[in-house]
Amino acid sequence: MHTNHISVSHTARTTRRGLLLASGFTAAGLALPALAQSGEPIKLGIVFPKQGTFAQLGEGAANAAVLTLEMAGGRILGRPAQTTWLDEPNPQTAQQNMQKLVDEEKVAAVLGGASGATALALSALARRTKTPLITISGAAVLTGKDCNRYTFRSNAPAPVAVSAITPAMLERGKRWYFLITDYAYGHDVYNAFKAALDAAGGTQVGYDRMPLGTTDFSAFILKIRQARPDVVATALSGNELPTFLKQYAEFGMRNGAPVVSPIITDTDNVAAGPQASGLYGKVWHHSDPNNSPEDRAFTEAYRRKHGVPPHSNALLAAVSMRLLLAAIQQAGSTSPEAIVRGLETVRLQDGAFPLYFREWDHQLMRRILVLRVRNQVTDLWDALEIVKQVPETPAGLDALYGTQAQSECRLGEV
Amino acid sequence: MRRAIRSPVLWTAIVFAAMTTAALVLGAPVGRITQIAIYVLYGAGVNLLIAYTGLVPFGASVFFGCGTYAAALFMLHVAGNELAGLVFALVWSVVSGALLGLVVLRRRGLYFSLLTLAASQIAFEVVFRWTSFTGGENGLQNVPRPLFPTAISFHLFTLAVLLASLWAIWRMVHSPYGRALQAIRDNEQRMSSLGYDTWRLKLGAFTLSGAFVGVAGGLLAQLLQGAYANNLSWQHAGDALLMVVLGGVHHSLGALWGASVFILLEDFLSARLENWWLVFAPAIIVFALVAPEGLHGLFRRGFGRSGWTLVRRDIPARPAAIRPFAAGDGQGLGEDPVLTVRGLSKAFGSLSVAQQLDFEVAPRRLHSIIGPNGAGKTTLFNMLTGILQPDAGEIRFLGMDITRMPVHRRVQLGLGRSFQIVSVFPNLSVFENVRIAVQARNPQRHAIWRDAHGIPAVNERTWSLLAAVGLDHRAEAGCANLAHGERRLLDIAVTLATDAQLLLLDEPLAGLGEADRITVSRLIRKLADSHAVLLIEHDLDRVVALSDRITVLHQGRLIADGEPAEIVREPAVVAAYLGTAGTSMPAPAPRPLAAPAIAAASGPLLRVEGLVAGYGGSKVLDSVDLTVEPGEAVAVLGRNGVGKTTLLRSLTGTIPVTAGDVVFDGASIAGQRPFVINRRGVALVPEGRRLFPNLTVVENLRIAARPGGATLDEVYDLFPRLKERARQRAESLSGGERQMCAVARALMAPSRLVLLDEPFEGLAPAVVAELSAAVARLRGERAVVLVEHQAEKLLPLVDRAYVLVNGRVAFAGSSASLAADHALQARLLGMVEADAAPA
Repeated sequence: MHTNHISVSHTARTTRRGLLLASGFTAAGLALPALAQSGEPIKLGIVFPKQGTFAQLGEGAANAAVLTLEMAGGRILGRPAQTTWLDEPNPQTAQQNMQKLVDEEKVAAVLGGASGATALALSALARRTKTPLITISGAAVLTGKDCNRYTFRSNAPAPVAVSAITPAMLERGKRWYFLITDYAYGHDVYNAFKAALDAAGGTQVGYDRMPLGTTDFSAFILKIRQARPDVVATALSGNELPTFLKQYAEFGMRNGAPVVSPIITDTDNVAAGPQASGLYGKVWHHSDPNNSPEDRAFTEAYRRKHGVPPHSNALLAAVSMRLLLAAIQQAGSTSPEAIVRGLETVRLQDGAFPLYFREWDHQLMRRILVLRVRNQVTDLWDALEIVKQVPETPAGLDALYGTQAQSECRLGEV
Repeated sequence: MRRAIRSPVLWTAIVFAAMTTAALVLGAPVGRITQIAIYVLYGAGVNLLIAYTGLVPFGASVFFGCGTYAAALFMLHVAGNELAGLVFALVWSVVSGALLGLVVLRRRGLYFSLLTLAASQIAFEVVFRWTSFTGGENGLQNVPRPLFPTAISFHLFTLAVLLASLWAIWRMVHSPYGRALQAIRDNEQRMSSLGYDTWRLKLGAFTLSGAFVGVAGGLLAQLLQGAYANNLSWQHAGDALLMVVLGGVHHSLGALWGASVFILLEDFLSARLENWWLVFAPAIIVFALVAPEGLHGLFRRGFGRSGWTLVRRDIPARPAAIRPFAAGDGQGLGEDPVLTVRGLSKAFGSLSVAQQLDFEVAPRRLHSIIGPNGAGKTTLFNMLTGILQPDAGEIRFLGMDITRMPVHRRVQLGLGRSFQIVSVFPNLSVFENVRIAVQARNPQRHAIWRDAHGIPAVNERTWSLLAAVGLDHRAEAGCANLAHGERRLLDIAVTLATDAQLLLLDEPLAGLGEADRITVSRLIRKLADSHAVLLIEHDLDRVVALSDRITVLHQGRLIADGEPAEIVREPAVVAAYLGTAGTSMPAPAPRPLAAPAIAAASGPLLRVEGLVAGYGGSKVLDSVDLTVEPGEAVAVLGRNGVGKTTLLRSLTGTIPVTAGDVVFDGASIAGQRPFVINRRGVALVPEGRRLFPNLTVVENLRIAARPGGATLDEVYDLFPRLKERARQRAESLSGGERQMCAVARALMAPSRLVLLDEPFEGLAPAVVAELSAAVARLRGERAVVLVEHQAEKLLPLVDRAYVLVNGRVAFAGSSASLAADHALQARLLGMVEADAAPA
């Protein structure tokens, strides 16, 4: 009796186990192809500076991109996603690094190009290798005469940033002094400033050009003091702005005519410390009350992970990565053509504003902030306060970034 | 076949084939290997200038960067064809190189280097600012590449261009032109004096180097399909230099290793680290410390080899029968004087070195110029050859006024010269030294394609010259391995090669042993029979015996001019040259110099046991035993090349001791460093004196002074002439005064053993007498070891003598016994009777 009972339950258990196992295997067998595909990781390339003048900028942007991917779960289309960060020291090496990412790592897309020269090189390579590229450089021609179907740009081009800030400058007066670094970017900004000044009937009270890497501005500051302008319009690169601001303050001019730069990143004024002053354009600010919930979540996570808030280029990189992930998700595939079409059509929300790449020139439509350095700077990362936002409503975006009729961009085929 | 194996082109091809295969197998981008190939070409082009011509350009990047822009702009605006682009880059580089060279080659050394750097920076600024044409800091993009669109096809194209260029370079450095460049690297002044227009040759080298670098730049533009300015700025100007030095400057494969390591290491590190330069730079430092001769030098050391590998080492085969040297038949020399000097004058500030010199040199005569040290003989020669410009006067050569003619033009007219200080090409072989001089006269001397060793007439004449001076068995040896006497012979062979009609020989016998002196004197006499020879010499007996005419200079003035027999009797000459006491040695003066207390120990001061030493593995000294007692004077004699200087060098620690021991004052000093040995009390007065030329006499003495040594007063007492010249710079002293200064310098430190290497070389008898007197006074206070090859001057001064023969001691005994035994002297030192008639 005892034995019978046991043997019956044993048999039943065995049968049940067997059924379970069999169904398990079948399910697994059916799922195998899907598993196999989901096993292969998707690779994304990052090309930002690791050393040199733009090291801090590059580091922030790269960290932001990586963090955004982490926050998205580290997976795209159900597959694990990886990033590889290579250096951007000069156009030649950056181009070769991107070539490496495309050939060796077989990346699906690249996020890179902080400086104008490099971005142009990467853009040409993107077109040749048919690799989607999102760049954060402000060089105008990237969405102008050198645009192509595979390049997307998320930063504001220099002339647009200038047109965003000139009204605020004209409010302070029509006598402008120009301090420009003598290279292509500097000239572009100067030309845009001058056009705006002339259109408003203002006067240029001074114009000084200096070579890249100037460290002593005392002669120029003395001239500025003598000329007594309403505004000091600058187009200085990298480390030059904070150095200039410190010397400007040392000469007692901190409360005088404001220094204006159409587009900066937080590390510029942070480096100047409590001596910073002036009026600046930025595409993002970490404490902007109008930031979207995603931006705020990201800022919090970045601050927790890296100890400091993300600078504007880091936020830019984060948003670019977010758009890329959304585009791939929407397209459902990682082929270059699908990603390009995905990026052209994806739309996210940024508070009241839509967030998208314009279809005919691949420019990210994003409002620009005009900020001013506080009179008393206590917290270096909270030195700026928002003066206004350009445009006030989404309807003004197209006018701000220029219409298709005004543009030289002719995108090609995929 | 053997030759092919040693060709660097073949090795480069093999290495690149391996790298390309590895890249393809590992799935790495082949573009990286293409970049390495381009930088190898860059490095090879730059090394053409550094290692083969001796010019170091800091800014060779000007050709590299401008080459990229030239090719890119041409392909964007004119013809989008890779080959056309490269050709244009080449043409642009040649033209710009020639124009730039006209400016920067006016300066040498550091100034030349900096001028090239400035040129590169100027190019950078132009390219960076001229945005409308060059794209400014954005550069140029979208350069087409229609013929080789894929990475692998372009890679193969680049390799083809690289190998073709390296082959061209390899051929060129073996051509007459290339060989001339290498000689210029070694000794530009000598090349000038052989008749080469060195400036033009350097300009050609600069242009050629720029051309190869420009082609590399063009290839880079095609690789990137763009052009960027950063290669031109000073931060990257040093890239080529860095690569070449890393790989090995003095090796033809240096550029290959340097470029490969540089690029691969940078690639490896920058992908893995954020602050990769923090690792990269120290890695370069470590390389430089561990392998100063570069990676290739390190490889070779691993195989037990050393030395440069810039060109093939072989020399043309020795002919079965060498044609005896025929000095030409002196046609073109009529009866008129070959050289006429009128009213020649020169002064350096207040020091007048030549005053109104008037004399003539007749054809087919041996005309000697003699005079005490400081008389102005070498200065006269310098004015005759054009190295120095006279203040006044006229020089006529073969009827033409050559007073203001440049050096190489005078040489081409037929004026040849040998130098007082041996002036040869230290990094070339003996054969090449003479061959390059012979080549100067050959119409093919500027050929850049044919093999320099393939000109039979030149080779034959070279062998003849080598045989004439007795160096034909040393033809393959490098110049650095020759003994001093052999170098002197080589110098003479080089001078003879110039086919000059008037030969100016400046102390050709200095440093030669007796046997060599006879050979050379015979040669000179033979030459004088068919040419005109103007000779400066101190070996008075020989001068008197050989010459047809003698001119005597004293303190810049001509005091006698006539037949030898008259001159010797002329009282003014006797007084000025031979000294008032004639050739007798003055008795030792009673006042001793302050010297450290001699060790009370009774053993010898210096004991050398079984010493074996040599250079680069050779055994020059083969078990030498020697002792020196405190306060004793000892002579070390021997023919040229037996190892006398080597002995002194091993005693002072300059060369390592292979075996045996050197015990000084009870402690072993073998293998110690030179300054340690000096502080123990061993001082050296080296061959050639080695004073600090820009310091004054007093400064030279003070710099050597240590507590316990002689004081300035004591030294002036020993050498009164030094007191007169105390504030004069050492480089402007005469030969004898320099020797006195060198001896005095050795005495300023508390030395118990003073080693003198050939102290009487090149000195007039009066000075020799003064110096001997000084040595005699030293004897007793300090131990002295004198090394010489002329026994008769030395033996009266010393207590004991050693004679070295072939690196071993053949005689050790009292100097008196050696002096008495003429037969022994003849056997060991090859001496003959002093008044043998010339052949």
